[in-house]
Amino acid sequence: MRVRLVAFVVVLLLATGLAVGYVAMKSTDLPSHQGAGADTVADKGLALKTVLAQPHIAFRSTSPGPTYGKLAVVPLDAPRGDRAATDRDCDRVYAAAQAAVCVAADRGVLTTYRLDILNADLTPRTSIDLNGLPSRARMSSSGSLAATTMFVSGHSYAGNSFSTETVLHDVASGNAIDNVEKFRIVVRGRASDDPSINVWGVSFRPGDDDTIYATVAIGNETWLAKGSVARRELRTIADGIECPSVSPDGTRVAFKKRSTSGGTRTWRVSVLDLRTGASTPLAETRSVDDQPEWLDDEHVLYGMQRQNSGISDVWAVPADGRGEPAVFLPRAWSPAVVGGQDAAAALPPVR
Amino acid sequence: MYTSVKGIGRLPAPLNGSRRTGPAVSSTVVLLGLTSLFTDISSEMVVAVLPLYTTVALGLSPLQFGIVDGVYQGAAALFRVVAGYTADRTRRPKAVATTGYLLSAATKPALLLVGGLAGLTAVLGVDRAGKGIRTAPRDAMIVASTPPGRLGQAFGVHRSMDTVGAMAGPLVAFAVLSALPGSFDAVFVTSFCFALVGVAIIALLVEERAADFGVSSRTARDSRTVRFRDALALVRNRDLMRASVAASLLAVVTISDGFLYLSLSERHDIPIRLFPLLFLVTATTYILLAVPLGWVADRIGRARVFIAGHVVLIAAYLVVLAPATSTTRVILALSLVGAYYAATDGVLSALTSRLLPESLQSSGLAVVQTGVTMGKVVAALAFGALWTYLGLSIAITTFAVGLAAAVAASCLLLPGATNIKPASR
Repeated sequence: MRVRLVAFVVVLLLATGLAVGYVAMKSTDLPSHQGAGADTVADKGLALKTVLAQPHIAFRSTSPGPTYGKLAVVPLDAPRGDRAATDRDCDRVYAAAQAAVCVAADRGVLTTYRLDILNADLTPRTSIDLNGLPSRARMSSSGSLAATTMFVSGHSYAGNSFSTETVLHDVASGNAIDNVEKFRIVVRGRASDDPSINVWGVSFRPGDDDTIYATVAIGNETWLAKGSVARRELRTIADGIECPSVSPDGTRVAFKKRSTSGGTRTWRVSVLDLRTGASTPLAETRSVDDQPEWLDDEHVLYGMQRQNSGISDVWAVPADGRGEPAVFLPRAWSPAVVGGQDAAAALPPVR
Repeated sequence: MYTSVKGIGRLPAPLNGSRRTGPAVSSTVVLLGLTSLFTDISSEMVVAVLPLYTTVALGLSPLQFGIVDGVYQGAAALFRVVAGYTADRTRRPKAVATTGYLLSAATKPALLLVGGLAGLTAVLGVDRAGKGIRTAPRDAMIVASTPPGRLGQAFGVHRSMDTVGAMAGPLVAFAVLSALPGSFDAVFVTSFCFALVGVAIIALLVEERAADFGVSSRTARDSRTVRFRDALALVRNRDLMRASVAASLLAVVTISDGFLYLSLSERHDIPIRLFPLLFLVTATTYILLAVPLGWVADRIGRARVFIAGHVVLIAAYLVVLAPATSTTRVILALSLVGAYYAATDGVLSALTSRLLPESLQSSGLAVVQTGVTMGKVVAALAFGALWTYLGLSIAITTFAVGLAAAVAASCLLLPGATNIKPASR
């Protein structure tokens, strides 16, 4: 029995040593978040600085392995090639030329989320606490405003009951400047004071820090609304439209159109022409529960989960309803195109 | 009375409720409790971070969730019975139980190596198999080292230590993740270390010995080994079969924890980030009540406490259903669930063991536990389906009504449930 007792103590010491030793070793290996960013050489040797200096896509990597869930960038002209990953875990990513945002989790017994505001080189600038679970994040093309939508109850749009909170943030100071759901919301011509209104999926008109498009919903009805940050107002302009994203030339909005068949909710990604009011379903026939992002004036990007897997890919489909969808950026989620067509492009006059 | 088990081995001598010799709870029970504690820390750590590890939501509907869970439970059921029989036949419950613990421990390093979801689910399946293998033999070991009049209390001690481990698991996991954000490999390595300690405790510190209680030493050395037909003959043990049916019926109308928390969050608008706290409330109540209720079961009858636990569960469902929402109600519902666990989990094993001959403890316990597990599989599918197609209120109401019916049936089926005199065993 004594032999066994000794053997047990040995095992106990070994196990403790292994656990403590491993944790200690990893904590010296792991660069702190403060250090991550400009110096990070990444996945397969692409240097972050090089990629950031050219038109690129910022996204959340879903490559299985050490870079899973991390903020990463890839050159716009080589999306299927090597990527430069940072050490930053993000649930949602968006970026503009001057800044980027990352919705990140503080894991603990109670997991909370925060909005990390990053500089152009992806070094951290400031952080703001967010309520709830991440849903969408977008920035204005100048990078001075960011909008986040979080689920304060429920956790997906596929559920029957969920409540969202959509907040506008000033990127320079990091302050939350407005709760979009407190805007004056005009539904079908009449101001609504329904407290259960949900607003989500804000998208900024490129080149414009004031005009926004968003989804407004009361119960099961959803509308596309257009609004003004300065006037704190949203007006519905078309119905059945969710998660809008404004095209680089400002004339169209890509969105997901909801339909309920056999008890399950599905969405078709489509494009609305703001001038004519005509809406065209795009060639992707699978259900897309994502806010689309424009690659350029001809193509729309959206995320698609792989079956039975934690991996997702970003697909591209022509914006005119023709052609076929194809994987554009594999093993990715939440893409943001930076330095593409929308950068300082000449825009038609504001309507 | 036990015609079906004639000749297998001496039955435990009938004991009246007043014989309580020996230490209240033997060192074996405490050590097995520690094994379970460390093992639970290990497995609950992993369970807590899995949703994060596969972080992009799979978008499963409640029905799909139930199916995945059900497949696991069903697969483990076969292992339970085979392992239980093996433990009895070889008279080495400790060896079989240790194998189960070892198997589960081995899955932790495997987690470091698997990449995709398929590999992950396979590893989890093996872990569950290990759990199935060890549960009945371990309970048999608890029985063998405890005076029959103290079985309820002994199981109460074991289960409460087990639950302490289950509570500590997520806390340890998140402590590791706060120190090393995103480092799931560190979580898995730490989990492995806890599992190793658990295996070491049972392998090295727990002594395997013939049953101390209930049989004379002569029959303990009885050379006639248990044969397969003896195990099959358990089916003709009517009290055992009735108990098994009753336990399974009750299990079929029990809402699983996962669904219960989801129901609470829907009805009472609880933010998702507070989910871990829900479990803490249930676990705390369980830990506080497990030993006292086990003690009560020893005195007034285990069948009665077992059934009463399910009545408490009906009350919990009603609280969840109640239209108004308040923090008090949520805590009340969770505490009632904890009380249900305290009154039923260990008590069922105590109850069952008394219906079995000493040489078939593991097999018999495995049979009843398998019945309960299969019942839970059906329950998960049924609840998921009801919720998806008919809505949450109907689902909960159906289960509450079903549970009431099962309670009534159990009063008829369980020996000693309705006797005026306290059960003499």
